[in-house]
Amino acid sequence: MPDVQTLVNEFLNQLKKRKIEGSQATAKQTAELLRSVISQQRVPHTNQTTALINAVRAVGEQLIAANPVELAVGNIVRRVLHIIREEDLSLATAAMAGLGVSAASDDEDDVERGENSVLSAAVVAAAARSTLRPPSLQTLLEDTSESAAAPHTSSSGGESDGRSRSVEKGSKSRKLKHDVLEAVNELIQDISTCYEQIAEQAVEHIHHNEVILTLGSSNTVLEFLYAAKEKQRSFKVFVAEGAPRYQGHLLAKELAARGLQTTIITDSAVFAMISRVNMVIVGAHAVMANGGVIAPVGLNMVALAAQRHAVPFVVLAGSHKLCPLYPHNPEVLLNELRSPSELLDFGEFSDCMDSASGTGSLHVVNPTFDYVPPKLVSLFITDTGGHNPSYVYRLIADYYSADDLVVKRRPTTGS
Amino acid sequence: MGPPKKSAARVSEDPDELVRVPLQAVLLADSFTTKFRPITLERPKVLLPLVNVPMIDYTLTWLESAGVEEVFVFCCSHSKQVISYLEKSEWFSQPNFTVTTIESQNSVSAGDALRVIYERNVLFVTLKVHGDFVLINGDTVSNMSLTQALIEHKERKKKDSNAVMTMIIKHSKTNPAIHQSRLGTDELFMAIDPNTKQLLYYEDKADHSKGTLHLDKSLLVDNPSLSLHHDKQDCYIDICSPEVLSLFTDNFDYQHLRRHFVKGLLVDDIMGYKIFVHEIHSDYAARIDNFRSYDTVSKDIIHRWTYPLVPDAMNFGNTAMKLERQGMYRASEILQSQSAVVGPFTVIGSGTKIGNHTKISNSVIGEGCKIGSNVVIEGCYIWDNITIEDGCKLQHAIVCNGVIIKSGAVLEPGVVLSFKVVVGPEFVVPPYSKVSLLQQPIEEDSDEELEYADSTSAIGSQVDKSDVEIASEVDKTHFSPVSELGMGGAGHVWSTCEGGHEEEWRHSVAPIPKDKILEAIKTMEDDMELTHDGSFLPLSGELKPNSNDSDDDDHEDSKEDSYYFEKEVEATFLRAVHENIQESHLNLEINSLKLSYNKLTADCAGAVFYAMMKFALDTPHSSADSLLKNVQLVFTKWKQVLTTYLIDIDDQIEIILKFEEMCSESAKEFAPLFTKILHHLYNEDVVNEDAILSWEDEKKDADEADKVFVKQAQKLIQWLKEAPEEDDDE
Amino acid sequence: MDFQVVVLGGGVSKKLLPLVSQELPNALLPVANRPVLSYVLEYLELSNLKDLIVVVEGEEVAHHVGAWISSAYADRLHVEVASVAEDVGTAGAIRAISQHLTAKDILVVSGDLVTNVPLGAVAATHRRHDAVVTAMLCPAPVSGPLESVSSGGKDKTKKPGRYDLIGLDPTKQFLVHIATGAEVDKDLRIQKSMLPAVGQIEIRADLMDAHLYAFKRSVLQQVLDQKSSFHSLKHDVLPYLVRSQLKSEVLLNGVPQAEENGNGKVISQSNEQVLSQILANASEPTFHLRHALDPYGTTSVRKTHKCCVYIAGSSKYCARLNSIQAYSDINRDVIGEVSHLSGYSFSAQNNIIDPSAEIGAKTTVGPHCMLGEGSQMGDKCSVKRSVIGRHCRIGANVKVVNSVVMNHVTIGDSCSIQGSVICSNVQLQERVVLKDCQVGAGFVVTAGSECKGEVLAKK
Repeated sequence: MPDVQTLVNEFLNQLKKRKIEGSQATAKQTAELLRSVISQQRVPHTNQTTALINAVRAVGEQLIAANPVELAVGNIVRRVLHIIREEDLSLATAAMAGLGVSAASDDEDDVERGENSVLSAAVVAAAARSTLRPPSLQTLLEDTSESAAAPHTSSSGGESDGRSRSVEKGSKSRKLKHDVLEAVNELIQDISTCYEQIAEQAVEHIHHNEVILTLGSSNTVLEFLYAAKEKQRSFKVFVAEGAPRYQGHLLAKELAARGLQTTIITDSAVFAMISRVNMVIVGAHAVMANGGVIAPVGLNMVALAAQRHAVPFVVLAGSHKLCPLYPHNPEVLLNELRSPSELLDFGEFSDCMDSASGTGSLHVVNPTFDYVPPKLVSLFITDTGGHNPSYVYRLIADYYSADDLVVKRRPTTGS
Repeated sequence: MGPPKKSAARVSEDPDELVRVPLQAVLLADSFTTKFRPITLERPKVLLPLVNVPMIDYTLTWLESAGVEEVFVFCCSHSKQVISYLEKSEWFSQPNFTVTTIESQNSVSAGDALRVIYERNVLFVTLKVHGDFVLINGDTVSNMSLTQALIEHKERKKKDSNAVMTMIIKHSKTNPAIHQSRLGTDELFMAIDPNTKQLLYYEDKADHSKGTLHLDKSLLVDNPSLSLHHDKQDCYIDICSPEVLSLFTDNFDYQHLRRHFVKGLLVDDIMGYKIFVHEIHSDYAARIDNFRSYDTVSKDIIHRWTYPLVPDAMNFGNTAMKLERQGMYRASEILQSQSAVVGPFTVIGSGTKIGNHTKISNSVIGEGCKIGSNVVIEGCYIWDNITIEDGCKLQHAIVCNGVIIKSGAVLEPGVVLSFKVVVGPEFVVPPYSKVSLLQQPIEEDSDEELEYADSTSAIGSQVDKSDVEIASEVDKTHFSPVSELGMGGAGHVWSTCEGGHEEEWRHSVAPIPKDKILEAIKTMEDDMELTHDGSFLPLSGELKPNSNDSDDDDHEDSKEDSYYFEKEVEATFLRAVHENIQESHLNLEINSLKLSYNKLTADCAGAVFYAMMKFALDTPHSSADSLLKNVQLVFTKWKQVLTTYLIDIDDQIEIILKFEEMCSESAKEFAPLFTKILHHLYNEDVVNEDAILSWEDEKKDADEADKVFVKQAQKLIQWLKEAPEEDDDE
Repeated sequence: MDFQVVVLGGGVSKKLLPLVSQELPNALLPVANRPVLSYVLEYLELSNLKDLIVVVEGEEVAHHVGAWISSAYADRLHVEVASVAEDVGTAGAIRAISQHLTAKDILVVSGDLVTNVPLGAVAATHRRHDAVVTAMLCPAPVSGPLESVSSGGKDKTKKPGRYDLIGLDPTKQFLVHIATGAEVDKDLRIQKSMLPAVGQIEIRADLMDAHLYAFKRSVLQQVLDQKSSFHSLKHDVLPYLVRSQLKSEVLLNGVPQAEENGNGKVISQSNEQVLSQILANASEPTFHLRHALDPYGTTSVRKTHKCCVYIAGSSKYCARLNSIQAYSDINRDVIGEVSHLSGYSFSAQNNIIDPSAEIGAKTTVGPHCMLGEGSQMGDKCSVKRSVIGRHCRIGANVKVVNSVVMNHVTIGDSCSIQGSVICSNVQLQERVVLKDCQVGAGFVVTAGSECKGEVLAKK
């Protein structure tokens, strides 16, 4: 599949060169890429699942390596893996139902046991949870009925379909791939519509004559606020400019253009203004498994200010930003240091960096992200509704299966 | 040179073509200097690792991300290595980014390179530079976005077709004391029209014309205000129109991009070509010109000025780097002992082992190095697969692949160890010394002009040398029991001859010693004093002190440029002879020379004549007669060329004088034949009798020495004198 | 403003012959029927500078000027007129009266300056930077000296370096290089040592030095007596100060203590401008080191002084009466575009006709014209853009265009005068036709003679 490879390379390049900005765009492109990977992947007759999974992993590994900071990539890869597993699971159960053969297969392939235990545990959890799962993009809603059977058989998915192939081989192999593609399409759909879904909830959160504070620029926030305005809510917005990239200016411009009452303040003025603010609404770069947030630099300060004045600190995040990793996880590079030239003009200071004649004493550090600990976050608003930080891990359990946490095929490194 | 120029012009005239053609770049994978010796004797400069990635990768990455679609990599020295590297690398397999290599062994300068490209241009359709192209060296690191500059360039081009080039410059202060930028390049003076951004004056060799800066007054005529910059840095990234290539081909004396080409265009007002500048502010761009800039740029990369071209983003397939606290970049697999201290702003490549109690700071360490314990490494650039045994001390050194430093050895600041050198135990390598397994090439010269020549003659000799041979040399040196580098050491310490120590401290990776800067500051003050003394003399202190010296230097350069002029005419002539171009074209070329040097026809005549005689002389001849034959042959064949410059009698006299001079000085062989040849010239109507006669009476009051040939020619002259009467008789 | 003002009235300059003479020196040359000096004096008075020293060349000139001033300004200004020998040069002039100078800052104005640039601004610049010298520059007028109105623009390019070549720092308030166009022979030379300090010099050829300088007195005096060879302020003193501004120990030796700390105060400010660049560039630690070891690093900061400029906006008017062309230009402008300078009130026709003047029938006096008191004009005359002095007698159908006619001039019938200057007591007989001529005082032009571009004066 050479053409896929070129696609992959192209995408890798863009990631490496930091050409793609914003986790939503990244997520979407990743999903699309993986979709084409899957569709190109020729499924062998024996256990296609593993075939697909390996294919996706292979690509995913490269993608993640290309830009480890952009967590959305990893998230999507894991999501897709998860989808594959679940599709396979659903088929398996379906097949099982058809065959009515109980699985004598448990004694075989002890190789997988180690991860199976984890897996099955996860799935049990999933099954247990499935009832109180909020209605959402879940592709498996229909199977949850017999999810009781799920853990048992899923352990030996490979075998089961290997056996069941005898019955309905051709159709099934095509079916798995087909279903997976279906699901991935849905995923893409969800990613691209997450704005609207989040924005829909705006009305419930923003009320008349409130003062909203945000920092930097985030499309999600923009849409959110705009939606509120559409619903005839009248409120003020303070925009902290978000040094050093000053994307707040753009946001403010856009908001003002859409007729919201907007005020720009410097980042350093946040603490002064916070007392007049009713709610802080910000976007995020990623939401970690513990409910902590990786967000544009400066937000930690805002969060602290908000806490000090007991102002609710609301984080908007599409579900593709939910990351199954923990901030202490070595996989996670919490930060990206960008070029100092965003802070100051090289020329003006060039003589302070002339290491040759001994004045090379000036260093500039320009981090992109902050880590906001969970206890500072009051509420997450995802496309599946509002959630408490402590609930995040459950969302994650819905979206990811535990044995995909490490995408690398050598699970020694990392966790 | 007529037709090609036209074609180039055509390309540029058609605006929509300018828009359509994919953006191309010419990448010179050779700096044509010797600044990086001895390393460059074994490996081309562009492949030297800069923070563990070969320089050329930075350049290509930038070109690719800047939207260049087609790159011609011009390989000269070690072209095999460059090409094979590129083939191995992923560059040939990039989507919509094609890399083509052009190989040429005998190019000795950027000028030659462009000429070659131009010729190939004419020959092959496959590699063709159509629209504007980016001219860049393979050792340039940048993250700037070209779009703005390109747009400006094209706009100007539309308005006036003479705007052939846009130079990228950057604001960067130079140290006034030591007169060099942080990149170790000479201080640069530029005059720029603040409104049009046209470059009016460019001086990078600030040595001559001490104290003051000469701007041509005429500059101020057409632009009432111009700003004179000292705080700008030349990034050596140029956006050129196709004309540039043809320009290089037309004046084949252009060697250096700046010193000849740019200045050439600035001074010549016949063609009226214009150069503009584009200043970048937030973006980064710098060229690695010497060890100092190698050091500086490396630091800039580590400080992420070149983002996204930074170690943790720029992993080419090989293992990823991770950025840790206070600018430490580490590859994933590193065996570092607990007690080892790795300081800030350090890069450590994968597979490197670091022993106990070793201290490393502000250094770059490549892959697969074995560093013993109790080693101190400070501000060093240590490449791949290097063994440093226990207790060594390295300060501000560059250590190339495969070097072995035995225990307890010390590298003083500024040391450069070329490939596979072995430093004996406890041996102290003196500061600024350059060590290589290869013998130092004999012909070394600090003189810029000659640099191209010797660089290539030496490199050329290296080029064909396969690694095997190098290895064999290695072996030769290896088993010398005790070498210049202590017990079991291998390598020759090069004597620092170019500029001696004086230059070394300027261009090495070591920080500049304080005392040097002190001296420099003193001298700077003295300069000021000096200019003051200038001011003490009475009225109009402005020009008096300088006017006279300026005169004489004008004088001498006029002298030498007439010398160059002759040389070139000769070269042209010879070329014409060998490629037997017909006279008319030869004339054209000589005319163009005449213009560019603004010479009189007399000068041309003299020069051509000289060339012809020289040619005749050089063509093998047994005896005087055969020499005479040669001369006659030459003249029968090439008379036209000469006669076109013999407009009036003075030109002819010029010839005779020239001839006389030759006989007496450069080509004594002609001395006996003087009369014969003179007569032949007369018969060929190259010179008529008046000329000869007036030459004779010019010589009347010359001293005896000068009269030798007049005497010789006496008979002829007599005969000429009588000739008229005879005519009258008939 | 405790500036002490020195007005350099000059003497009888060759350039202005035949208009000027011992009786009528440069300073008293009438512009719109007022001595040009009066413009300067009132200009100074305007900014409340009341005690002036007017320096003129030669006793007799001094006598005349003094007489005029005491008559005109006796009550308003406190002026003392000093006379110096001929052609001692501007520097010499100051030297001569040096002992009279007491104030902290000295304002040196050329007596032939006609301008409305706010003097306060210049002084302010000088004080703000505590500069050693501040020069006033103004955009070179389109119809500059020696140039006809029409060919103004082109002419500048034709003869480059007519104006001064002036180097400014990027902030455009400090003078880092100055050379008079005339001096620069074939190319201009800039000190290399200056450039690194400033980083970037903007060189302007389109500015004119208005010959209005504010000096720090101590410095000025010291330079003058140290450099006895210096002849002219503009050509010697100013360039010297500019050149030496980065390294002025030479300059400030033996300056009274007060001045020293006065100048020490400067450092703080000049740190910002000049010094910081030096220090920043010469790297910090080594600089201290140098200061420790270095024989002349005795003071931790290098002595510098600053040469400032004030660049007048192009809307302002500024011209110097230093040539005949300039003379008629200024006359034209003063009753024309910058009429407020003339201090007269204009009539509805936008011209000034003294009530006591008599005008014949069918005679038209166009706008931008001036007719002095007691002048009489015959019938069918027409006057355009011209100045006619007092008590002139002008016959019938005379044409006067673009010209200046001084006092007590008699013009016979049907003369035609274009672009000419006619001095006092000249007599033009009938049908004289003058074009671009200058007629010296008391000259008699015989009837019917036609002249073009000539100078007519008594031998």
